Amino acid sequence: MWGLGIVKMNKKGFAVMFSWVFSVLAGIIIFLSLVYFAVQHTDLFGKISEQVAVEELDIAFASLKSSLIGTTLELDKPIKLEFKCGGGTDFEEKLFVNGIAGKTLRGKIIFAPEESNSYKFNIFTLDWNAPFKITNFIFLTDKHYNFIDLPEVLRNKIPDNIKSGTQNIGVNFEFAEDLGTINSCVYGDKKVYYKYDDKLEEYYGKICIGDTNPYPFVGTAFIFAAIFSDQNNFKCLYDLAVEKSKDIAKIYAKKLENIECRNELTKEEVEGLDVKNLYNVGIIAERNDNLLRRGECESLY
Amino acid sequence: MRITLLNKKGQLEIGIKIMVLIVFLVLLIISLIVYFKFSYVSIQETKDDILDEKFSSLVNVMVNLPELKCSMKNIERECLDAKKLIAFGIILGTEDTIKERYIEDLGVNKIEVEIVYPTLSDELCNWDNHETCKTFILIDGNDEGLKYTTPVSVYFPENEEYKIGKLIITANI
Repeated sequence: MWGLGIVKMNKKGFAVMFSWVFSVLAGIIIFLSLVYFAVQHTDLFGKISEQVAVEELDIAFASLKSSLIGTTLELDKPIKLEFKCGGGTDFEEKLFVNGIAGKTLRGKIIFAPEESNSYKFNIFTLDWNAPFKITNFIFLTDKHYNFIDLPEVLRNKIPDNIKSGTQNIGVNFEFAEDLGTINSCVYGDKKVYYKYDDKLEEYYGKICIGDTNPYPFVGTAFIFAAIFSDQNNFKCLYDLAVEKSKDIAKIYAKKLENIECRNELTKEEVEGLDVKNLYNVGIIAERNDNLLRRGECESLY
Repeated sequence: MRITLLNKKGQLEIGIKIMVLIVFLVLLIISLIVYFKFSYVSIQETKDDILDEKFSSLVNVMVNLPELKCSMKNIERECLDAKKLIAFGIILGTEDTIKERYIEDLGVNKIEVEIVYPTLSDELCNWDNHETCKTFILIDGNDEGLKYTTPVSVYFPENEEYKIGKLIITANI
């Protein structure tokens, strides 16, 4: 009798236990499902949005690369945009949105501060010509500056919404009579020594941006590069731009081989284009103009 | 008799609860499958949109590359220079580092320009036949991937002629 009673109690107890286990299991599954769906709907903590934003920005920059434009990128909420160039063995620029989704910006040269936090970004582009068009430089900023020290001709190239502020850009500009005397920079100083070449119709000079070595440049666009980028990005993008110019020079040198009336313009001159050297850039421009003046000759570029 | 009845009742309850658990899991799995199906379609649509934008922007970039674009008296025009196309193809065919850089920069496998009208031959273009040939190979790479085609105007500077062509981009974006 006793023995039978215990069996009965045990079985009943097991049934009670089972409903508790069932409830707990079902509860855990439902809870996990809800958490899962919540995470899905909160966009994986924003990762998909950031990834899409990076892709969209990359596409937008690609379109800007081939056109001269001034535009404003306005978003629903503030984001942190980071542009990081260099750091590894390969010189490449990466874009981060809110610290994640780093994407290499292939084939685009974007001069921007290393970090900007805003919902509104001003973007404009300028051709870099030395002497032929090499690429478009893209400039991005979330700030509004005054450009009092900048020569008016250059100031006019900047979209109005960027130059509507009161903040100083923190770059000194100096017309340099003799660029040969500028061989070093004051550490930490941001300064542009410039001159204008009437034949090329471009500014040239030397840029001091943080360290003691000046960066020689030919092409007005480089002045804006110094204004809108930080030291690290500038150095890295400067090298990228120079590399790009060499690639294009090789293509034009190949084209020159098949221009019959090339006369004094030689393949070696074009192939050896040094975009840091005004004389070298100027001589190609002058000889190309001579080809055009002949009437029946085609242009190299 | 009573004990047997109780045993059966307990087993029946366990059976019912297992059935309920199975039904619940089946419903959960079905709803997850449906949800993922919709999510997948939505992600696919976003991917297709981005892909379309990327190809459009790539075409825009390609036809505006200064190393390919034509000019008259140093003024850029909306066309591709036949001589630049050949020079570009030769340099990228011989200099692997430059070719790699362009492939990485543009994110493409292969780029070619095909003359559509007037066509005089089916030959690949080089310096000797560039006025009568059909196909300019700019980047000779992997033929696999999606193809995107757009009409372009090709300028032949020697005789100042224009031909209608199509830019064919093959890419795995």
